Amino acid sequence: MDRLRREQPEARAEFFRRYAPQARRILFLQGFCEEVDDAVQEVFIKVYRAKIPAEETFLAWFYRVILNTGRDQGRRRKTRHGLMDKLHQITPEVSMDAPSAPSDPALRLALAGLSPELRECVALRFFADLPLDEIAAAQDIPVGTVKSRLHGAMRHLRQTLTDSGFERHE
Amino acid sequence: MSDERRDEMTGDIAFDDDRLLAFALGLDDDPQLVAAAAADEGLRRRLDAVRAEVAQVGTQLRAAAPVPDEDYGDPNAPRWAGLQEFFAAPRPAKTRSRASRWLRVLAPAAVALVAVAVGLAVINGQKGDTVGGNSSLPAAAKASSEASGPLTGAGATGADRAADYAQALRDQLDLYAVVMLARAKAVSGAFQRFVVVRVLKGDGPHVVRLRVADRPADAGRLQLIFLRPQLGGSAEPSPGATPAPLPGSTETAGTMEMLAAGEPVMYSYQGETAMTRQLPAGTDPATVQLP
Repeated sequence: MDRLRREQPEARAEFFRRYAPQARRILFLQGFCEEVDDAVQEVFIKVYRAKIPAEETFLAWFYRVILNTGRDQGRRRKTRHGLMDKLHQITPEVSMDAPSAPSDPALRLALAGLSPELRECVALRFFADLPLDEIAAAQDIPVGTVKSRLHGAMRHLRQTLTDSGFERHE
Repeated sequence: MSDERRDEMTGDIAFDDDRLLAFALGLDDDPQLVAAAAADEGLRRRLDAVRAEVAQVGTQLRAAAPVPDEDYGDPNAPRWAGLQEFFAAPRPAKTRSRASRWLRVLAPAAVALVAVAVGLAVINGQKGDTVGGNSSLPAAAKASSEASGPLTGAGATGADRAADYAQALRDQLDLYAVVMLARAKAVSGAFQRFVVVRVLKGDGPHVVRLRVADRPADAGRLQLIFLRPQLGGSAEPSPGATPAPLPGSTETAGTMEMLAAGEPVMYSYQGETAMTRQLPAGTDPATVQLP
């Protein structure tokens, strides 16, 4: 952490090696990012340019950077798609860069039914394997709210997947 | 989450699905449920079933986000071209943060000032000149379009004007720390990639990804890319200063015309202003020289 704070290139590379795949998966689930690599790059640029916080709060801060970047990307994509929709009405041949999504329709349906907050909570739990208190710190909410979100999300996912007869393809 | 409810008929504690789910997710320790499950075979089976479902949903979720390639986290991979500066030798932190804050404010203004100054220089040059021109052309483009004719004859007025164009370009070259020759790729979302053919000034990555601020450059066309605006550059051309002497040869005039031909297009690169100028179609990269 200290080496990262002192902007040592090897420390930055090591941190990137360790956390880039995880950041990608969180961002992907957060918004099915088409431009997920751009989002990952943006996350690390923000981290490397920021004043690194104290070690005990670092991971929560880092995950907050990921979540905020994903939210920004989502907003930008929404705006761009709005513009593309308008363009599409004028020139029907314009193709939209639709966001990619999990290929299984049942899972897509189940995830799409979750609010962004619940989806973030699920991503931090299942992709980052964060304990409840760290999810709470990353989302800046009380632990009780994390419990309630996770509980609600899992109940919804179980129900939707059961209703649609979802079976995971190995 | 483990609110205690009792069966209306028997008076026993009721363990509903929500309570089992909370326990299976690790949200509650629920010693009461643990004790009850140890004594009740049916409850234990229900709890195991909920646990299995939770595990299955978790597996399905993990499968939803594809696992990246093994080399995804390789900091030297070309896809992370935009991060290379952070993996190279660090710059002094204080100077950098202070400078970048000012650059974000000053660089666009400096570019605008250069454009206005070049425009004024061209208008002044036109006053005593009989050569007409399209006033709606951008200053630099107009400059280049006018430069070729008189310079071919190596006339005194044409040479002066070419020197002005050279000065304007030198100002832009001074303003940016990195200048590269690159070929534009198709725009993707808010970004456009450029494959670098030659680095003409400073150090740069092999592939540059710029955020489109103005409009995308034509895919496949050769571009001059200006990155990393710097405070130390002579962003404002001094009107009173004598333009740097420029050899009146047709070869130099051709190079100047080529470099000044494209209209400046603004981009953003890692939070800083960047600029491109499109070179004429068919330009041989090997012939491009900075003035």
